[in-house]
Amino acid sequence: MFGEDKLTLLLVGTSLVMPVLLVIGLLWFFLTFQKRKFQYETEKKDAKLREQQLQLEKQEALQLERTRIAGEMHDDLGGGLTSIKFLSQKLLRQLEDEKQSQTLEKIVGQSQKLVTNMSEIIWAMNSGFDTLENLIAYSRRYGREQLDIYQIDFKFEIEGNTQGIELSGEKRRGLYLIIKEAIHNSIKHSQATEFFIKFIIDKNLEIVLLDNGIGFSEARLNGNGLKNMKDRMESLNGKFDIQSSENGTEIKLSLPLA
Amino acid sequence: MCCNFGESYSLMITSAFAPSYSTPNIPFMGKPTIISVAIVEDIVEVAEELQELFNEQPNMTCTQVYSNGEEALTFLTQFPPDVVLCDIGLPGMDGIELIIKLRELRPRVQFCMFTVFEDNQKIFDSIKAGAKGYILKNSDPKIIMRSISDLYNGGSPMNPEIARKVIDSFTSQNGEQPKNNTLPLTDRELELLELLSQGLMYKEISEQLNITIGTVKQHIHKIYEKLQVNNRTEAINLYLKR
Repeated sequence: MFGEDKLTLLLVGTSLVMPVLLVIGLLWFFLTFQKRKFQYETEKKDAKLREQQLQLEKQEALQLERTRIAGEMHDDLGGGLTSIKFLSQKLLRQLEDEKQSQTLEKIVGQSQKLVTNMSEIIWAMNSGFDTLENLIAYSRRYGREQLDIYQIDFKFEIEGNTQGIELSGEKRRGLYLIIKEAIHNSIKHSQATEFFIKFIIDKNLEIVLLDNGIGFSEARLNGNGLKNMKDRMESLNGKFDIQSSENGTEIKLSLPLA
Repeated sequence: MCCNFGESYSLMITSAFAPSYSTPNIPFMGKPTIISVAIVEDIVEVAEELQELFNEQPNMTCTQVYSNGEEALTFLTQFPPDVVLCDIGLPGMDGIELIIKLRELRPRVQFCMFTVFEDNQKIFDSIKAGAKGYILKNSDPKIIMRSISDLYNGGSPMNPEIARKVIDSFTSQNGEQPKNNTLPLTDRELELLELLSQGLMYKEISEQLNITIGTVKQHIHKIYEKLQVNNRTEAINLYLKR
């Protein structure tokens, strides 16, 4: 009798303990799993953070390097070119030989042009200027200065809101060089009396460059200048379009914003 | 090319400027103002050529050329010129420090900064310290001469970036002018700066606002003065901390 009781007790005890053990087991398993999962996620997060930090450090290093290069261009190259310009000018004033003077004038012109090119590169490298507004002001000023020299009428229009739109140095410089080239082409080849620039800001940035000149010749339409403009625009993921007739030339640049 | 007696003083200055820099001196019949210019520039060949150019002008004279700020400060205090054409980046004491120190002792000397690139932050700092303008070293000699004379007669150049910086220094985050500014900008001045910052030239602004170019220049001159009054202490502190 007593033995049977013991057995029953054992059975009852076991049947009670077993589920408890099972629950504890499951609970332990579950907790461990959660912990592992948490650890895994934390590690993943850490890795991501580390990567972000690395990226930031890389960007910072790049910016620092750019500033350094800009600084060196400024001090060494800029100063040197200025010396060349002033020395050539001095000689130019003393020279009487026409041919030699012409060559010297070219030296003056070249050194001035190099300083301008350098300042454009420095402008593009400076991330403090990464805005559409800056590109607009810079292009507008260039257009006005150049076209005024050749007494070509210049109109400038902006449609849409320019505020707060960012534009990387690469895009700013690319667009600026194309605008510059278009103005240069118009002055040099088109006999235009009017030049018009319009910036349209919508989902895309569209820039229209229009003159009332004699248009592009067949040869120049297939020439390197236009191809360079097109390639440059495509490398920025943008589109380049040109329409040319004897009544003028219209160039359209289009670039997705954001 | 010769000037009439009856012409006003300012006209005489202008006509004196019509010849190119290589033309020899033109005798004046009236008594013109001679602007005394000093040069502070560390590249010797640039400084020498500039001196010759100034001395060829009928209304300018240049007897002082210095290649560093310390030397310039000593002598310019003793012999103050009308205008100092001053390189910003100099060995030792730089151009901005020189303005602050010299203007403390000789407030009537005007400064024009001479720089390779339009390094806007440095130009802006110079203006806050008291400079009245800047000239690019790359400019044509004629333009350099004209800018000095413009500056002497109250004109100041400004580019879009600097206009933007001026606006920002006068306005707070929410776009309003802070009240603690000793000299706030007028609406007209602010309007003018906005147009300048968008890349418009003086001529376009004068057409758009229906005022003369002379008035545009006067406005800009006044803006420079306000900027200097409001920021001079800040500019000095910046240099004392270094």
